[in-house]
Formats: sequence, structure tokens, C-alpha cells
Amino acid sequence: MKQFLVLQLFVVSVMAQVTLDVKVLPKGATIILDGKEIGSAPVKGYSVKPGLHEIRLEASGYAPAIHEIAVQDAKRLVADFMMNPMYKIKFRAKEKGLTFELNGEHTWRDEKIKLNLEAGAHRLRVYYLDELFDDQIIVADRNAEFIYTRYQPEPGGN
Amino acid sequence: MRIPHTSFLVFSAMFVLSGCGYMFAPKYSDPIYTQRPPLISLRYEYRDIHIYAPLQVVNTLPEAYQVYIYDKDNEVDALFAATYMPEEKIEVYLPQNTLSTDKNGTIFVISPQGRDMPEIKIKFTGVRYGDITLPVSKIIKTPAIVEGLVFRRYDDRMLGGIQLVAADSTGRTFYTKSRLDGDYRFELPNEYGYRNDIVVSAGVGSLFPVVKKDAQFNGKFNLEMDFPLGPSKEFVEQGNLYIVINNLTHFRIASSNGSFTPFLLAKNDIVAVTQVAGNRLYGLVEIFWSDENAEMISGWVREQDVIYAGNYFMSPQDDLELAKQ
Repeated sequence: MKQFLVLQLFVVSVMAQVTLDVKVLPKGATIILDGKEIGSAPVKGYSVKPGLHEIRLEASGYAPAIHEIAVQDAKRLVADFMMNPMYKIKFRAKEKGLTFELNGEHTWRDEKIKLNLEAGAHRLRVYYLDELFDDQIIVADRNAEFIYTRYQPEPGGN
Repeated sequence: MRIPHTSFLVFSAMFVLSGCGYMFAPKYSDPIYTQRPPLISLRYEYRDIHIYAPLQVVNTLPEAYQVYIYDKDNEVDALFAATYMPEEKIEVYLPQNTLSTDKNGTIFVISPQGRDMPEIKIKFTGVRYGDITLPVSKIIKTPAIVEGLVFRRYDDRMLGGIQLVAADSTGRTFYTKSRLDGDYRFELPNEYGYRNDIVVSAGVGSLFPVVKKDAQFNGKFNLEMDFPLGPSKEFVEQGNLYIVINNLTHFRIASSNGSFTPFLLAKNDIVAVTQVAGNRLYGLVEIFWSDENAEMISGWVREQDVIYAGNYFMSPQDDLELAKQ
């Protein structure tokens, strides 16, 4: 009877497996599922149980990504990820004595600095003598030089 | 001395003025993220549930089959509905996890389209995915059913093992026997549901006088007919009971040979004898105009035409014994 129950539990647990395929751009990204590295992308035919799982992706030159997936009871789940690249930005300000703050947490006072920015929009706040001097969104979409100039509203704009 | 090319000089100047200017610029220590989630696409590939409902079609051909699947808790909104042609296999494909896995939690309904073909409901236990083969469903036209009870009129005791015969006007006959609880049931072919020429006889082959009734369906397919057998309690109390042993036995108004015979008695008719004169017995016979309406008529029979019945029709143990005779 006990053996039968064990067998039944085994059968149920095997039946409940979902085949997981993970494809990542860029190829070769490290895939960590629930804290355990399961290989480099792409990974095919990995078995998971239905339920909540955490996938972490790491690749050189890309922002690490964490994503929670509620895996449904299915035959197969194909997950495609596109990681965000990191760009090297040369930042330069024409004015002196300014304090720069990016995304509310990264601060510097140098007029020239090399930044490693994730692709996408970042919020740049500029302070002069501890007073907010400027507030604008900058977009990193390639390796480039960024020359800071104070935001000037267009004439006639509100 | 060779003078460098102008474009080389311009390039060098731009290099010094721009890129080279960052050679000694500090590098911010941490990468700066947007906290933007990665682009992701999830595609599920589901298994399916395959249900096969085999059919056995008996002497009929429905125009089509309407098939429904219901959850047992909601027989209004079908999980699945489709029409199948007679030549098609009844197979249903459903996505994974669409059926209840409770025991007998799902109902498969096959509704043959055509006259007098009843709907078939099959309860079954669903699966998450995989194959289900349902039991074979017999597609048959609604039978004409005659059912009821056979009991002893004397004390309403149920009679088991009593032979019943249903015969039509062409002589085609159907047989059944009552069960121990007195129930009997005829399942006649569908066409009898539209006929009125069926006569059901109960007590054939027993010591009880045979009782006959007309089964008039008139387009109905279920008739209930009970058969009280044997004499009434009132009749039994009239005298000693004798059973007529031959058909066409004379029941005369006087004891003398040649006296008037108002009617003839049949085998197994019962006479409650009150007087004896030589080899002539005087008594009563009970004529039933209906189950409840009877009349007692007096007359004479010859002793040689009857046999003493004792308490056959009253004793508690006589039912099965009688039926076997």
C-alpha cells in the first residue's frame, strides 16, 4: 500500500512537469532559475513544476534581468527574453559647480565622467548650490558622448 | 621632408579635442540601470484531452448526433457542443485542464436526432489531459414499456415468478416474469408505442386464473398496468375453493344435467362451493368487470370438473409454489 502511494505521488509529480525552453538575446547569457544556474542561453527541455519561478539572466555588456514567471500547467513553455544592453557614455558639462544626479541615486560633481548606462531613459537632475537647477530625461541608445546643456523650453511652449 | 596629409592633421586634431580629452576623466563606479524589466514573450503549448464515445446503433439511423459536455454543477452552459453526422466518429478534443477531475464530475450527452431516440447521458471523471474512451452507447429507438405489479388480490401480497405474456393481434408474443417484489416490465419494440392491439396476460401457467388487459399505447411509450390475481377476500369467505380443471366447463343454473348454462368456465377458474349434492357442487364464481368491480354469480358444476384448492390462494407461502406449477 505504501509503495503504491509512493508510486502514485511519483506519477503525479512527473505528470505535472512543464518543459521549459528559454531563449535569450544575447545568446550565451547565463540563466539562473530559482537560484540555480541551469545553463547558457538557449536552454531547451528543462523541466519545471507549474507555479511561481524566478528567472535571472546575466550577460556581459547587458543589464542583469530578474523576472518572475507564474508557470501554468501546460506541455511546454517557451520564454523569449531580450536583455537591455549597457552603453558607455562620456558625460561632459560645459558649466562648472554643478551636481548631477541620475535616477535619484547616482550623484557626481565632475564635469567629465565615464558612465555605464543601461539602454533606455534616465532621469537627470542637476543642482547648483544645492538648489534644483534642471530636471530632464536623457536616453541612452548607443555608446556616445553626452554634453550637458541646461534644458531650454522651446519659445512659445508651455 | 614629407608634409603629413591635411586629412590626417584634421583627424589628429579632432582626436585630441574630443576622445583624448576623456583619457584622464574618472569613471563612475557603478553601472546605472533603468530598472526596466527585460522584454519577454511567453508562449504556452498545451496538451489536449481526447474523448472518444463509441456508439452501437441498433435498427435505426439517426439523422445526426448533437453532442454536449457539461460540468455536473452547471448543466446549462455546455463546455462543448457540436453536431456529428452518422458516419462520423464521435471524438472531442479539448484543451488541457478544461474538465473537472472530480469523480463523475463531467457529463457527456449524446442526443440522436430523429423520432423516438432518447438522449444518452454518460457521467465520467475528467482528466487534466490524455485520452478518455467512454462506454459504448446503444442508440436504440425508445421502447414501448409496459410495467407494473403482480399481486394476490386476497391480501395484496406481491407475487414473484408469475409468467406474463404480451401478444399482438398477429400472434407475435413477448414473455416476462414478475420479480420477487412483484415488479414486471416489458420492453416492446418502438413501433408498439403507436399500436393498440397488445393484450397482456398475467398468471399464464400458474394456478391463478389468467387476467388479461389491453395495452393501449396511443403514442405513449410508458404504460403502467397492475395485475391483481386470484379471488377477492370477500369471495374466499363464501366457501371452500375449488379450481376448474378443464376449459369449457358448464356452470349450470340447476344441478340437473341439461339445465341452462349461462356461461362456461375456463381452466383455473375458481368456484367457492357452499353446497354439495351427490357429485354436483353448488357455489359462486367471481366475475371481474374491472380490478375493483366484481360480481358473484351462483351455479352448479360437476365434481369431476373441479379440484379442491385448499388454501392455495390464502396461504403465505403459496405464491412462488403456485407460480412454478
